[in-house]
Amino acid sequence: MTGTDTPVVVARRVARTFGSGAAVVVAVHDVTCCVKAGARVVVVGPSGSGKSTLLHLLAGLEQPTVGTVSWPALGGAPSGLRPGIVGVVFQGLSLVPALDAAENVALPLQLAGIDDSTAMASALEALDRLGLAAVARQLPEELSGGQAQRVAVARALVGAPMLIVADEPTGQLDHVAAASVLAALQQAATAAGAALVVSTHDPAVADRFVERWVMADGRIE
Amino acid sequence: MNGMSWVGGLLRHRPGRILGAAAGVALGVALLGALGGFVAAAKGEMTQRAISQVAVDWQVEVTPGADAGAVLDAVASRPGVRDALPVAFGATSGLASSVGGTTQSTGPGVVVGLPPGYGATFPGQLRTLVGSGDGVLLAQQAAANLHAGPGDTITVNGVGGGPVTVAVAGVVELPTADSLFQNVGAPPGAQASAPPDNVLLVPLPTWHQLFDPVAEARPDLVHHQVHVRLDHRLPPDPAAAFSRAAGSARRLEVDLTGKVVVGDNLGATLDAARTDALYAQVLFIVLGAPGAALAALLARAVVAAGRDRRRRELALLRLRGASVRQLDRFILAEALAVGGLGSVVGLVAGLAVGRLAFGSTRLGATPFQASVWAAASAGVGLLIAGLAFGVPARRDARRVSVAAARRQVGRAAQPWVLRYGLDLALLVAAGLVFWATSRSRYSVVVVPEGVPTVSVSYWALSGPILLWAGAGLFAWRVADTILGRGGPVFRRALRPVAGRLSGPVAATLRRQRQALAGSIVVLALTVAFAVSTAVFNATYRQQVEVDALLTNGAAVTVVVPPAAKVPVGEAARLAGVPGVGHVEPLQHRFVYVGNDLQDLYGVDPDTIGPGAKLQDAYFSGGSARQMLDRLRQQRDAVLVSEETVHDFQLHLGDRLRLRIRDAATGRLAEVDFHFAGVAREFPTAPRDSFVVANASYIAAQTGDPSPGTFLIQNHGASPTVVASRVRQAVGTGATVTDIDTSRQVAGSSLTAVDLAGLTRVELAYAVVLALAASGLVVGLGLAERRRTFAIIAALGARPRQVAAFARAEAAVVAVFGGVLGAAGGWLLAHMVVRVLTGVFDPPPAGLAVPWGYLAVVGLVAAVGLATATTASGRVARRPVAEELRDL
Repeated sequence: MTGTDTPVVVARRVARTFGSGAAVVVAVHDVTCCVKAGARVVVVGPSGSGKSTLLHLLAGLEQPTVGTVSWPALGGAPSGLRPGIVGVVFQGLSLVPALDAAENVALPLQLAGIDDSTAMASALEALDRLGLAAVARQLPEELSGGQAQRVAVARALVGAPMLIVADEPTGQLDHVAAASVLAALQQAATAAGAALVVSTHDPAVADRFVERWVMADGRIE
Repeated sequence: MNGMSWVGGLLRHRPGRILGAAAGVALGVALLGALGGFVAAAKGEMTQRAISQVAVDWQVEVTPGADAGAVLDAVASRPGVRDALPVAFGATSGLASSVGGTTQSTGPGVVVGLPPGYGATFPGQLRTLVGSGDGVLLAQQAAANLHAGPGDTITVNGVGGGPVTVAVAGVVELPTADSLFQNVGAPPGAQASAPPDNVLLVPLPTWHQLFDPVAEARPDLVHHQVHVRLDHRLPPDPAAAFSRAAGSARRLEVDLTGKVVVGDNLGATLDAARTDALYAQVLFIVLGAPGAALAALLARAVVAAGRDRRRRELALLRLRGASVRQLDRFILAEALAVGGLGSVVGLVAGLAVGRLAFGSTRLGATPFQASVWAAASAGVGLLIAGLAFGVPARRDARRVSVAAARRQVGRAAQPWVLRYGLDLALLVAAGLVFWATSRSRYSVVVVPEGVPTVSVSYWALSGPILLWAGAGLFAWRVADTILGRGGPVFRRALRPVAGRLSGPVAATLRRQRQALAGSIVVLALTVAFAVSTAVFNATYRQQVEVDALLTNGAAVTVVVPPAAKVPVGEAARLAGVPGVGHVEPLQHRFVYVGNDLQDLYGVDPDTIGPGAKLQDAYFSGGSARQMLDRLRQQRDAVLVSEETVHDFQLHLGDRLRLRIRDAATGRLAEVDFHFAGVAREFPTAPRDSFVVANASYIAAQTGDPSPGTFLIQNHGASPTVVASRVRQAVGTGATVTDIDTSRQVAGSSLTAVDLAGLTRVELAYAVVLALAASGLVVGLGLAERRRTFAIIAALGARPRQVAAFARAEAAVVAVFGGVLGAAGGWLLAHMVVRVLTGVFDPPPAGLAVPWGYLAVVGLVAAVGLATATTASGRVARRPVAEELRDL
């Protein structure tokens, strides 16, 4: 576990369980970790090792059953995902089917109370940065898998977050598309000065990161 | 994997999918089962009621020259004849009595000879008012004319060798005098003859003593009948019962050719009942068919709500090697599961409805009828499941690729239904049918004169059904246009429910408008169904009440025989009877209009309006108030029927010279009136023709101010109770009737059948449908978009922001489906009432709107929408990652 600046997010002895009684599943078990500003972290491990749950805990999407997660550089604990704080790229299809690419990207800003025209201008700019200006008015179902995932990246970046969490962002893409999405993520994170945490079980993706957390049975080895 | 395990898996993992569609099927099955069973039972009740109304089934007229004894034997020995008794009729030139030192005499009359036991065999024929029910009996009116009663002696003039005296044993009422003195063998359409005013009933031996001496010399003065009571084992359907009864009567005439003519009272009554039965059938179609179609649409909408997921599943199955044939098996198994489960639940619900609404699980139907309807309803349930689920799923299995199955929204091209203007075409067609049916004297139930069959003009029923379907699709067009092209205006309209998110909310609604269309159309059709059914039922009940009021005249009515003297101050005396609110005296005379003898009613225009509860619909060319004003302003003003206006080519202000009997001279005197308006209906008046004038003017012209009828409004006591008290007050000298009894006795068998039960089923069904259309369909639609809501929540939306998307969707469905459906329902109610005018007697002047019920429907729909919206909002309160993982 390495870092260079102030911690963006710190997890202390966190555990997350699902279910109860005999059916209880421990997804994350006694994990302590820290992501510093500008860090590039990849989380690897087999399916079911707890990668997604750990990322959701770091993003504030899940509450730990035991332990604490804090965001010192973000002014405490984010109540939900707000622009400028945390951007998340979800596993699989995560665009709203009834909104076009630009509308999908603008949505987090609109939810934060930014007016429609400003939000749309920012969305178009974010899409342009990722080379997606041509598909701004396309519906998600009209995009290729790579395009859809890059739109999801644009949506995660549109609010200039300090922490970007991407859960298997290339899981359903071919190598070319995966490389393109990953490059887009890294470039955007660098441009924004944001920390980036990516989960994957693709060695080619993992090799592009210096800091690597290996998970097995809910623990970081 | 086989079909069973596929269905088992669905029940375990997607129970809402099977149960939701089955609920839609169950609604249709329950309605059809309940409604069909009720109509079958109603038909049976109509037949039984018709039979019970007939005092004498056959009046077999013995033709002159035939042997009455032989005819009696022949009739009595026929199969199906339970009782056959001889009855003889003889004409007298008049009756006379000397009572209390004064002599009273009457005009011509009829002496009827009855065999022993006649009253017991035909209990509906005679009603003893006072004295004995056997021996020499005087009919009520003759007794009033002669001022005679039991123990008095009366003289029968013009019989045999001269006047004959008999002692009166009792006074009786002849409830079916019209039938008893009918002109047997008169051609169809012939004008009915009025029963004689003076009737004496004597034992048959006495009659023979009186008339045998004249029978040979004047055979025209006597005639013989055989009165028959039949075995009433007839089919429950009035049409089948009529066919058998009428056929049996014709067979008798054929077997005794030239010797008899059959007055088939049973057949005539069943003839009317079969017409009413057809109206009941029409009601079943008009009210039941849309309900069943709605259930199918509901099931379809439920199925459509899960279609995207199903398409993805089918596509994945194909991707993993399933053949189209295997998919067909899965689809068939699922359709059978939906149809079977829905049918079973629907039948159980139908039984419960029967128990709750009618106190019987069979709704009064026979076990056979109930079984037939249950089987038919279950068949329709399977059909609905096949059409709503099987057909689209099978099409998807063949046409949908894996890539296409991923699609959830698609570029919304206008659907072909709207592109080709099917909704507009349906509305235009409905308008044309309505125009065609309302421009002429149209009747949905056709009874051709002289033809022994009645039929339903089914094409005319297509008008309301076309309007209903067109209105539902038109709601779709309006919603599609506003959602698709509304732009900034639509966004602003959404602000109250979506706040600052109106932009993205409007964008999602615009792209999902085809998915929303299903909910909008189903809700619009449901609301239209509920509104039209409720308004029709309320109008029907209103007109049944008006009919009863017209027939009886008032809550309680006292009719004094024409020759009876009404004491001065009788109205005031009646007003003193406990429970009596208002007494309105009404003169009743007979008047010759040309050669037509018509009823004349003399009224006080200052009091008759509220006193008789006159309604605007009773008059043509003006309101009730305007017509009474005309009578008030012109002393000799007269209101006549439309038929009279037409026959005599009258114009307002025309002088009309009528002949009325003068009280002093007893002769007809010519009296001038002026035509002032048209009266279509009047309390106690016959339907064809009558005259209404100022009572003071008639009194002055005839010298007789006495009223013949008292219309009594009750106050604080039921009409039956008040009638009983009034009956005690007036004795046997007058006939007292009450509206409750009239409602049961008078009117058609259709109005007599307990349509309240049908109403309860229909209205309750509409409420359940409203709940299902709003809650179930919208809820399932929102459930399909749970992933969208979860994504929005994951992007940082607060619960109220997520709820804004669901609320806006519910609001769009409520506004387009509810408001447009209500407007369509209102039009539909007008059309249904117009098309089914024959059901109403008299036709309504306006529609009755049951606001309370409609408010309940609106409230239930709102609760359904709110529940669905709240349930979808739960997504925002669950942990986002957990929700996304589940989806």
